[in-house]
Amino acid sequence: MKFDRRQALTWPSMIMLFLFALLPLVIMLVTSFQSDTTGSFTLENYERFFSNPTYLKLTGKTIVMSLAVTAVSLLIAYPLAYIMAKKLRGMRNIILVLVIIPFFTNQLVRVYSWLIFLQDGGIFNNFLSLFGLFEDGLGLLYTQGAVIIGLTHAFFPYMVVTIYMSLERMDDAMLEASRSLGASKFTTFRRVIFPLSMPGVISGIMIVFVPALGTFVEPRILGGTDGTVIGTVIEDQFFEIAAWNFGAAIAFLLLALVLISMTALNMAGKRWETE
Amino acid sequence: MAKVELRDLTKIYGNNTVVDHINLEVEDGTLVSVLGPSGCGKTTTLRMIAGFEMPEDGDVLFDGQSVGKVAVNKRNIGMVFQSYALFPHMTVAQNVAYGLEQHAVPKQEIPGRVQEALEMVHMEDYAKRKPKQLSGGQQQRVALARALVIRPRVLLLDECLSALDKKLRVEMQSELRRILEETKVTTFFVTHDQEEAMTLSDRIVVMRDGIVEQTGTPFEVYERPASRFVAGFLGKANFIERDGKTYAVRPEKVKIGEEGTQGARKTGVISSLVYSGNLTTCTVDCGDMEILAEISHIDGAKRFERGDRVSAVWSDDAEILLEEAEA
Amino acid sequence: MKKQRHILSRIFIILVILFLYVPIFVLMLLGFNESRYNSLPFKFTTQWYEEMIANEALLSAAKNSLLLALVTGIICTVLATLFILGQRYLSRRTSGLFNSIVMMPMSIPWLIMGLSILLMIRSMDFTKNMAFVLAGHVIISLPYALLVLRARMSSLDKSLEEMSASLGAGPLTTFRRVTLPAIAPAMVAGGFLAFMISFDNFAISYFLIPNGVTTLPIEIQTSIKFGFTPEINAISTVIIVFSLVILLIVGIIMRSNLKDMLGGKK
Repeated sequence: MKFDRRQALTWPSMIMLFLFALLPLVIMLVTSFQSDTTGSFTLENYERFFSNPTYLKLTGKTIVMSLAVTAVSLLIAYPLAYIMAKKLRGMRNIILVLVIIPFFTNQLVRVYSWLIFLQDGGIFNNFLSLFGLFEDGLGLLYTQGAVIIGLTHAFFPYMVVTIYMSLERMDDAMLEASRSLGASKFTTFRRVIFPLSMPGVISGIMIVFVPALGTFVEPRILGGTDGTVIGTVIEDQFFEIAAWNFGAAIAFLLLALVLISMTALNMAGKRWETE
Repeated sequence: MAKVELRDLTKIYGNNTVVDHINLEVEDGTLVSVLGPSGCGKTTTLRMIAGFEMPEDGDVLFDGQSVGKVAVNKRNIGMVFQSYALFPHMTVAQNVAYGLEQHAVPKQEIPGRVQEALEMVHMEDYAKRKPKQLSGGQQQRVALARALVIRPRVLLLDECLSALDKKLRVEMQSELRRILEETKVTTFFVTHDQEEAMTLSDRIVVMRDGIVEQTGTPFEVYERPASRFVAGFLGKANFIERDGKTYAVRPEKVKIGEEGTQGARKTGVISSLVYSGNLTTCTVDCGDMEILAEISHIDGAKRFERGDRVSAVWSDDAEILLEEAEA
Repeated sequence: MKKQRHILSRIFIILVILFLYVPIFVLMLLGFNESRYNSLPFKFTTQWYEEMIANEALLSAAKNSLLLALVTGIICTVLATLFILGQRYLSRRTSGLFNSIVMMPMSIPWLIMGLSILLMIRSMDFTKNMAFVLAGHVIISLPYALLVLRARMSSLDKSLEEMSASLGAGPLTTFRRVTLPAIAPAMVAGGFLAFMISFDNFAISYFLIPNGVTTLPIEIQTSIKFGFTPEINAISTVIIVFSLVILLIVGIIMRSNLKDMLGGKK
């Protein structure tokens, strides 16, 4: 095939990505196989991770927390997307915009706002006290619950978008066809609407679950001592104990976890393709 | 299978009366075309029979019993949509089986019924395909099989041939005719294509602005249109005003002869000649009006040129008296 | 019964919107509250805004953030435009591969992106400097600029360019007279979005920023860590309002393509 010189227009971006994304990742991988002390090739960083039950437990905890965030997000996002796509008329674009705006506001500001909101004796606590609830303090801040709330708040809006898109694309005649063939509204939902919205659900899960695996800001600030996850462990290796090579190994394992989840979700998505 | 009656059926959207007190009686096993320009209320009428739209007034009866309060999924109707609306995540066989499952047909009977329905539309070899792998015509057949397999009391077809190309459409028309004769199901066929309505149906209902203009056999509505609108909508017509009355004359009944031909009704100059194979459409400018004539080539009539002065001739029976003076 | 279901739907929507906005509004409100410890009763004051303006560290952080975001926005606009134009001349496979590489930073946690660049700096014995921060910001913001441009590009009729060519216009003329005017709004919108991603970014800056330099998100984090002051409420409010303005600009420019843009994220 003849080389089209116009292809070179893509090179500046590719060079940037190569120098500041691909190359660093390769270096990270190499670093993870170097000894902290001697600098020679070693598996000790990985051995250290897998031989210590604390790290394995933290991995498990991170996964469970991300699953919880995904589940809560789904519980909010699916009904909302469904209502927007099938029940509302004029308002849908306004609501879509309202839902998506916080997604693009400053992450630190968002976390900070939850910190203020959830603190004992804070606004939310004061509000509940009016009804005689939690007068001795919420006890919610610095727990995993707070982390899950903060992460859900951060990530679910985009899930609304992906699910909404898949529901809105759906030909309403298909739902009428199902009804005309004798199916109740519930059966129509279970056998037609829900399966057809699965691509949106799966990309939504990807958009929530994957970033949740790699967070460190929200768990650190909202979770306090209870907020240790893989992300914060990695952060500590770099900023607290300067165990760079070990940190690189954990980061690489996290990357592997991310890639495995994405592949699995992609494969699950294939099942629901309509072709 | 059922006799269907519409009584004073009315649908209002805001200030707009889309369907205005329609009355209609359709005998068991007949194929009725509901014909009209877009926005005439034909699709809304169909959707009220199906139960997707609730009428503001009036009622729908199947075999003399009101179904006005019966939900769509309990009406036992079959419907084929303009977009076919096949479920893309199911195979052809699963699509067809869907309705049977909803009607609680015993599990062991389902494969046989599906097979039977697919054979009827000649799609048995495609049972395991997904809808996206089929052509438009094939999807159409599956949609039909899916609607018929549940043995509906009424079959509703919503402009379901309009997405096909001309050749396929004609083919599907005769297929449809054959299948419906086999199943003898009462069928409503909504279309804006008058030719399709003529070839397919036992009866034609012509609608306009939410009311029924005329109901009759294809022969009746073509040969004896009740109004100027019906005459103009089904085929072409010349409208002749005489003694305060309007008559319609079909172009194929107009003969063209040299100026001064005996019995000449109008005389003028040929302003255009359009040759279309089986016939030539000739427009004669008679000063006060234009006369349209379709000349068949069978009789070896003299060929005219543009600009020739000619006379237009037709017999008295070619003139159809229209009931209203002006549309 | 139908009415009731509608009411339930509405209540649900309102609850979700409250969940999204109440904490942020509370934060904004407390920026005007006299209490140092965010406690009630509410007494109005602009004291914290005054202190914010007098706070040298915050101002310098704000200046850094703005400058960084501005340069990131400009670079991303240029890179994204070139990329999207060139991509059309790639074979299907190469195009897909390039695309997944460019979009990669969107799905890999920024924590990993940031620290891998840090590891690279260390392994090559460079010192941390703002150029690396900028590079990190560019690669994570680029996908967003691309998303916006692609939404516009997909609705741009290719036959327009072909028509221009058939009328005798050279490639450069065609670009200047047909393509550029068509995608210019999306370039601006994409630039603004990249600006905002960079302006809001914490993770990349956190790992790469040289000692003694700060950005606003880093200032906020430090202040949370070492006991917060209401000035942070004030600066947060300013940041939120600023982000909203930028989003509004992007929204207005991309109005008709908003759906393509949102749906484009895969």
